[in-house]
Amino acid sequence: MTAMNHDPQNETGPRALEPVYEPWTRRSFLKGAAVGLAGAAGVAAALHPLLALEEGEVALADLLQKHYRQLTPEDLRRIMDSLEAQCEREHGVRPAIRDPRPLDGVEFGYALNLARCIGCRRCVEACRQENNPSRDDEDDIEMAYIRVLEMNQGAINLETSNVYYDAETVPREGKYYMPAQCHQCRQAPCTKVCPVRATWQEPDGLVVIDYNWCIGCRYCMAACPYDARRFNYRKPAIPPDAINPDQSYLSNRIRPKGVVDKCTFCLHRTRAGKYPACLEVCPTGARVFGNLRDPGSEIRYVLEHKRVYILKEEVGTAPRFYYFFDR
Amino acid sequence: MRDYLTFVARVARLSFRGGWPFYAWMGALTVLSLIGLNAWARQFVDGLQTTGMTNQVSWGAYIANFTFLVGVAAAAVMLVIPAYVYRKEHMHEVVLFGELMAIAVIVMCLLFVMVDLGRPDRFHHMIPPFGMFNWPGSILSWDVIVLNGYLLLNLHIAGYLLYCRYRQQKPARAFYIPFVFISIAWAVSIHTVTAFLYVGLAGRSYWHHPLVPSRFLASAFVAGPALLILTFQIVRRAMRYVIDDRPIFTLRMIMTVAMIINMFLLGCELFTEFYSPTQHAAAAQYLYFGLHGHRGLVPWIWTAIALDVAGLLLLVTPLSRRIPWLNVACVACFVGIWIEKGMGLIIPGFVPSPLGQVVEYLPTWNEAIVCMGIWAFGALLFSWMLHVAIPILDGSLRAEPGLASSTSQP
Amino acid sequence: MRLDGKTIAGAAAAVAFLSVQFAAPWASSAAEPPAPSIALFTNLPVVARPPAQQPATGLPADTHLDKTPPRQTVGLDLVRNGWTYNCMECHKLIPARWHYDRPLNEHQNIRLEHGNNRFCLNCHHPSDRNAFVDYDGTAISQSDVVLLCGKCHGTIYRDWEAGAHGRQNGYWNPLMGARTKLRCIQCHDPHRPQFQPMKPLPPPKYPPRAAHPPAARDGAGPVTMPHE
Repeated sequence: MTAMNHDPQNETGPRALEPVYEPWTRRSFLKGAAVGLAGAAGVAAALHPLLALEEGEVALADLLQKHYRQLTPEDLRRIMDSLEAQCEREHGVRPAIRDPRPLDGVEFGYALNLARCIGCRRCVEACRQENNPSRDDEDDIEMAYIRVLEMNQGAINLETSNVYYDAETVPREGKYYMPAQCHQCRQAPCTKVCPVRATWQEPDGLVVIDYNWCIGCRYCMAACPYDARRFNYRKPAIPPDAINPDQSYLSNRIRPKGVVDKCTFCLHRTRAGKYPACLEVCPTGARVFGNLRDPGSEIRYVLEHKRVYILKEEVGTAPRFYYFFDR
Repeated sequence: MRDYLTFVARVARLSFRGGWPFYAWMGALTVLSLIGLNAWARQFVDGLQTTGMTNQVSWGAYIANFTFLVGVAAAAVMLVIPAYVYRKEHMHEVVLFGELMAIAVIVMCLLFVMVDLGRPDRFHHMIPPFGMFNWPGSILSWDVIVLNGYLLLNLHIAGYLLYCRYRQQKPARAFYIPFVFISIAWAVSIHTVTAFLYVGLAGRSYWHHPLVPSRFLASAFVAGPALLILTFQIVRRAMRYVIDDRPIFTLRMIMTVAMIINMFLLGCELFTEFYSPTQHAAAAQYLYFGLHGHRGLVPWIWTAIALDVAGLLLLVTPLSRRIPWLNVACVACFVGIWIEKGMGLIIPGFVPSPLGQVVEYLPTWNEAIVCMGIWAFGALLFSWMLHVAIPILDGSLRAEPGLASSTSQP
Repeated sequence: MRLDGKTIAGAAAAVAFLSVQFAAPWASSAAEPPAPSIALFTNLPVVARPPAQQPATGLPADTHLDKTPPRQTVGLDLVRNGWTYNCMECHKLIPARWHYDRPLNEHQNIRLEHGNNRFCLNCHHPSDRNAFVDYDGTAISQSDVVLLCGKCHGTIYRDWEAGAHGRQNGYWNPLMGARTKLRCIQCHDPHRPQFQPMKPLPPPKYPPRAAHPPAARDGAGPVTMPHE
């Protein structure tokens, strides 16, 4: 095919362009204004749904808020006060939001006895009661930080596991159970990939998120080998009587819409010296929690005396969550 | 400065001048973009629950389109290399179109990232003076840098060359040649870095694979030139700008080679996954044959493979020396790679989940409308840039309209 | 208060009555069984001490968490109805024997499925029924039941001591507060120590917004993976 010739009728040809060189006339100005108005009206119509935003959902103060680690204690207290007020406004319950700091000489570790766990999901329920995820209906069970996998005996094969099992009684014949939650990895892939440092590892080993800094890109969810992170696809819905008022800024305060959250080993409890909620309710005592740096702690006892299994050790995450087998 | 303002004013007025096909086309694209904007506004208010994404499949159509389009943007380099490295004169005449396409496509990429964010109102956390940039740790922060850098490079090169043409000056080599060569390396880097987004995640075995960046580039160098070949024909038909067939056939050759490499790498991947099916092959199993009764992506991927194979067969046979068949090959390759790199690469990375759950994904209507809006906006932007650039290139829009137009033919 | 001869007849009648009236398994109704017809027996003994109390588990503030021990030890039917928890009140009349060849009147619901143990006196003290028996025949008090279990289950006792077996509640950090440890019999029925199956809490659902929900078997029933 050969090149085409210029067409004198071409609308972008020199003749058609003449008006472009002329000074603005009243007519061209009015035309421009009309086009501009029509465009603005179109954009306004397109953005009409934004009117449904709740008041205070996008507030200037939030936009200007600094990263958690840049806040002064006074700033943080002020922010936590306003979060308390917001919770009272929206949910009718005024929580007490604190910011417990890591304890000196403490690094948390968790171990779970696979030979003991019977898959009763009491830990899942406790996690929901403790951590204030969206818990409006059954679909929200998904938002708990623990998934209990029903595994086929004879292998540790996640690929054939089942989280949806339901039965009159557990354990079922030929099955064993593996609850999975955040492993608080020493080489955490999630903190590495976050583009805005909204998630990081605290000195006591807990991987936390600043929910007021997260931009919701969900890269950390793609990076996590344990499926431990949850995204708030909608604004959490919690009945007022289901709210746990003992809250902290980095763990179980009610999350905003559009951010990622995760298990923090119940930071607000464990930094106050208490056990995490999932351990408190475990009927089989399969869960062991403690300070990895204390040679006398029960977690150290397990690591030193039991056969320990690290889930996906080959990924190189070096978790602080261990499985062990002990009858 | 005054000259520049006159230039901007003229370009602005030129933007609204055209025949009815121009108005119809631009009007339709504007309406589609606004419908997309409306869908996004709804998503902003209701949260990402308006999408089909879940905790298990946490990236979907947005990131799939983003990944594909980064490749298309990078493929502009396939015009730049023949033009500047091999000094093919006929490619010089069209290299600017590649750069303009790169600009439009990069803008689309940035929009796709933007609509994927759960908190777009906090976007400034990614911009260093206001936010905290996790650099060099996060590959996503690298991606932000390379994408914006590539956008700036192309804006500079295309803008500078066009402005010189408008003023009918010879461009000073020092002002653009270094940037052209930087942009060659940069184009490769945008797609490599985007591949590293996925390859770097050790927990996702389907992505954690050294072939991925090479396949990304190979498939990008098919899809990008395919779009350019189609664009050139539209330009010379609708805008009556002289583009002969030589650039088209140079691009055809590039496409053929890239497609052969792409299909070879695909074969390597399939062999590795299926000859010794390890647990890590579960995602490929899901993609090609379905897993545990979930077969959502099977029709998609076989469509893509069929299109890819058809495109390859057309490209390697003399049939595609005829323009209509070449166009069929281009469309087949473009759509095939769009599916394969979007739904076929992003979604299986999440299925099964790291804990073995199979949760499937399909975009919702709202999500699809947002995607359509961004595609429409990209097309609008590219059309507008062509509409403005072509009169400058053919000399009909210039600083001194009194001079003869023949002086500035390329 | 001790039983005297006069009340024995009443006690025997009550045993017969209650074994009909409250034949339900021991674990069925725990804390407050209705005691409708007790008032009819005017010659019942007075309660000398409240029924055996389990130590509290966990922190009082954690009301939102269900920390109930898996096995609720409710005691004997008599005890649940306000009788004293002094085994010797009966057993001073019913001496210890190694072997019983007919169903017992009380303790009917005891199924002894505990390894090699075939006799009550493997664990219970022959002459002091309020206590357990050690290797050398000395008594182990009820509150030290873990020492009894530890006689055979030495490694588990060691793990329990170390905090690796059984549940603990309260504070992991002893400097910041106290912890409670569940004792063996709060989870295991000593006569049948195999941990009992439980009803699991509801499963998560296939995410509602995800594509292609798998066809649920039995209507809205659970989804099972075909790969099993």
